[in-house]
Amino acid sequence: MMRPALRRLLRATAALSLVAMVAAPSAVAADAALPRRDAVAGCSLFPVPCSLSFSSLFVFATARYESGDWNAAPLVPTNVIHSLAQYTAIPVAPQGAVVDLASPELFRFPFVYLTGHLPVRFSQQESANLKAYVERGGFIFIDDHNHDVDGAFHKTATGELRRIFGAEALKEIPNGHELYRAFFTFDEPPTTSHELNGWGDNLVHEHLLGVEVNGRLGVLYSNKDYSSEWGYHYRNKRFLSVDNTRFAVNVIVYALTR
Amino acid sequence: MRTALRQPPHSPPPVLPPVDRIVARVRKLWRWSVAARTLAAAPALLAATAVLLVAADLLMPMRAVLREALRWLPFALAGGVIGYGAWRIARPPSPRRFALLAEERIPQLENRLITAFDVALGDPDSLVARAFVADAERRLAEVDVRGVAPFKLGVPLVVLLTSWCLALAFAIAFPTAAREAWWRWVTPRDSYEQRWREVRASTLPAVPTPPMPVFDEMRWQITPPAYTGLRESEGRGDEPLQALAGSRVRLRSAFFGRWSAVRATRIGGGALPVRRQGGEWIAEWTQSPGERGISLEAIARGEVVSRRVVPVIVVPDRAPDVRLTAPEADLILAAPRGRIPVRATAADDYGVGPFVLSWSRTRGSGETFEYQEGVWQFASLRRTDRGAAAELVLDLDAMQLQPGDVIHVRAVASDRNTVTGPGQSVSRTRMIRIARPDEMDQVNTEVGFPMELPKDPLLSQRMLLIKTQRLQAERGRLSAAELRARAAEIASDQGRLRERVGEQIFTRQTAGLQDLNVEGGFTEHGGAGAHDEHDAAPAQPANGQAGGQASGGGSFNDQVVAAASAATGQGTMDEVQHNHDSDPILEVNRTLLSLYNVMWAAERELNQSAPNGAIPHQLEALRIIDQIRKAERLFPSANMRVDPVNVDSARGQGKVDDAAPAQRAVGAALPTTDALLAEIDRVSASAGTATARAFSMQLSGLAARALAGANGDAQAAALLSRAAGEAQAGRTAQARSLLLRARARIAPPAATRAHSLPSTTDPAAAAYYRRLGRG
Repeated sequence: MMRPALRRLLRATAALSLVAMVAAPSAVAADAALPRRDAVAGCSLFPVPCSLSFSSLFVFATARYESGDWNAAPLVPTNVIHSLAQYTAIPVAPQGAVVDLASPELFRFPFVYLTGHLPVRFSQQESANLKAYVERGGFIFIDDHNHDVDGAFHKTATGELRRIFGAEALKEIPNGHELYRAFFTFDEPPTTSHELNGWGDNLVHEHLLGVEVNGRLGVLYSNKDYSSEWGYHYRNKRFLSVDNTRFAVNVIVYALTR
Repeated sequence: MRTALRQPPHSPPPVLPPVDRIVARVRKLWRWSVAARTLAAAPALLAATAVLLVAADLLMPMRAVLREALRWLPFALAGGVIGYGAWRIARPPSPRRFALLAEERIPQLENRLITAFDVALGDPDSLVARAFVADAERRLAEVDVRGVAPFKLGVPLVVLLTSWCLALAFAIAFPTAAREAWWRWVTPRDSYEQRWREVRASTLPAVPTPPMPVFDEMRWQITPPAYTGLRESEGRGDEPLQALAGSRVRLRSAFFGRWSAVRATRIGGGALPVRRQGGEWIAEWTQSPGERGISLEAIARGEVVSRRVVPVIVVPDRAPDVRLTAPEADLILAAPRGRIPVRATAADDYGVGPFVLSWSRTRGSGETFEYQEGVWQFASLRRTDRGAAAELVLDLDAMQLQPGDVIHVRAVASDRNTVTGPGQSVSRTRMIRIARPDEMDQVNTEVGFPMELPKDPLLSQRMLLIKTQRLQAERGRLSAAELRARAAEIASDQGRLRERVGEQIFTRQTAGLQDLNVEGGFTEHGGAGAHDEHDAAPAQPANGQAGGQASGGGSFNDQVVAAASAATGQGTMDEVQHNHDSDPILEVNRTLLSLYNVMWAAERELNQSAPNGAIPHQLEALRIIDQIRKAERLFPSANMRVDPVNVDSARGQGKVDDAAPAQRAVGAALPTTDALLAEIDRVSASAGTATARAFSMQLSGLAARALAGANGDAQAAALLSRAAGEAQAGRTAQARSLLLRARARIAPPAATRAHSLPSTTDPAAAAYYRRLGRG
């Protein structure tokens, strides 16, 4: 004969086991239903939490492409983010993100920065993504880090833009364009010390180039090598008598408000 | 004797001229009589048959198929009568029969006419014949044949008039029924029951008016562009059409009699012509890339009685998918020799057009920079229905490449799209680079090519330390000459490493990007002897003993050396600690200068064949190098990570003294779906109260709005169009369900809605924004 206390203990143990057997699959299923960070395409590229790009913060995104050297100006994003924080009330993420040009994650960012020195050859997916991105209201700022008129980046990047958007799509932006009045007032695109050091025609270009889609600038192309001009640690900005990153504020404010 | 000529060969001609004349006159009268009766009987028969059929259909409704067959019966009968009359006139009876007719109708002939024919068949020269002829010529000359062939038009005319009178009376008494009867027999394929209800409704006041017919089931036919090679396709029109740009689309359906017109309008465009063919309307157009669909409207009495939106989804013709399969990776070659196969494939949804290999070559740098590009045709190209595979072998010897040259190749393919294209795609780019002689120690050249080793690489500080320790361990077994030679060799390597550190210091000092091989005025010559001002160089780097002089001015070299002396603890205590006004560049380089000095001390000990004295300096150099590695990288390379910006502390801290913030105007409002969503909600709320027709019309209007605008949504428009069809069929619940599905598709998710900018609580930032005029 089993004692009543022992019987109660066995009954309680059996009940608990039954509950556990029923609850365990549910718990596993619930856990599987939770989104995992790795499960989201493109999120492994993010140096910031994935959720940041989906929030109301502006995230400075740098485009990564297959050809060339996409990561030639690593200090520019931080510097520009710092300028945005300094000059504007735009809620900005403290750190930028890197997004594949061929990834659908591209469409989560209203502004993308692209630079490099080497020849650029966009893949099919990159080309299609870039065209769709701009046509859907995205803004991409492409800067020739090579600051070379006859350079490989300039010839290939402008060639790619003409191939994607049409032979006549890439045009000079007039210096009275609202881009130069989006936040600060500029009479012309700010010059850089690097453009004169280029190996090409040794000229300062009077205009930036751009592609307009639906009456709005969707692609901004620069020969001026702002990537070099803005490529310093933001803590050293205090040594400059004139902050040269203010034009970056204009570009981003234009991208976010037009 | 004209009659005789028309006689058959076996009928002999009559012998008497009066006989022939009488027969001819009778024939003529008979022909007029036949013609008159034919012309009277044919319309009479037509009218009577039509009236009988219509009356029978009104009293006992026929099936549409039977009506479609019977409506030709009156015409067939009338046509038959006319044909028979014409045949009779063209082929009249024989003269003998006309003679019999005349004998029958004219009694005073007393058979003389028919006898004349018999006489002609017998012996006309006999005595009896001559006597008969003499009498007959006299009697027949007096005969009048009028009345032999009467017209007898009474019955046909009575029938004709009666039929017309009956039809006219019915049309006057029952105009709607008469119109319905007319259209029923003109367009017999219309639904009889519906028409019959209308007739009853107009004739019997108790029956409600039947509903106006609405757009019935539609059929579409799509003819794809010729370049696709696809065949025509057909289908029902209640689902979204999917067509390639350039396709010919034909849409058709029934055209009901109560409609006066069908009107088609392009969504976001102009009118589309609609033609009527039989009992159908047909709208036909060539699909353009931006075409979103058409809106159909049925017009009756100047009013839109039915509306239907037909969305069209433009199927994209995708550009080819191009892949470069060989080389599989970028190549760095030690020499511009050999042959490199390049293979590529391309696939397209409708076939690949031109397929080439694009290349670019960059050579040199700086002012000697060259850039060339071009296109190569593949040596072999194999095409399939939807793809192509190509190959080209690059002969590097023939290309006359030089060290440092970079070749970029990529395959470029176009499709055959002649409507919106051709679409062009490129493969990923492969780089083939010829290594420069001075970078052979930094790059991995490809297997199979000769690889040149660096001739005289630098040894690391750890390797130098190991060699020195080994020399110290073997010192007892070595002769003095061997010890001196091996120690001098290590000292030489130590000196080269020290010079490299010195070059780094110099590069920073001038902030230039000059070639490291350029003479910078900072190269040591002759070891310790070259630095007389450093005679009291530290015996132990870390002991902190003061000695020597630290120069506070003079040439650049003097400044650097003075800073170096200070870094290693030389000079007076005041000079060592007096750093606040030192050159910031030198301050940054202080650690490197310390490293430079301890390396120099180790080198000097080794030159004196004292490895045991060099080892402490080398250990100190390793420690400093490790310290530098752990320090913050002030001049980082591409793979660096930067600390996040402290956004809160940076707010409102920008320099704006010389800046002129622009005055910004309020921009144009962005396109929004709020108005459409509000309209959808309003229509959804009226689903239970509005009539089926009104609900359907509202849904069709919503479908047109969903397609129009900058953010047209064809799928949502298709749902709304289907909802309109359900609504007009009286299935309100299904229509409302589709309406809600369309609304969920149009409504943006809450996460994508714009967020208002937060207001700042930082007083400094608030003041800053007030200065900018944006507070």
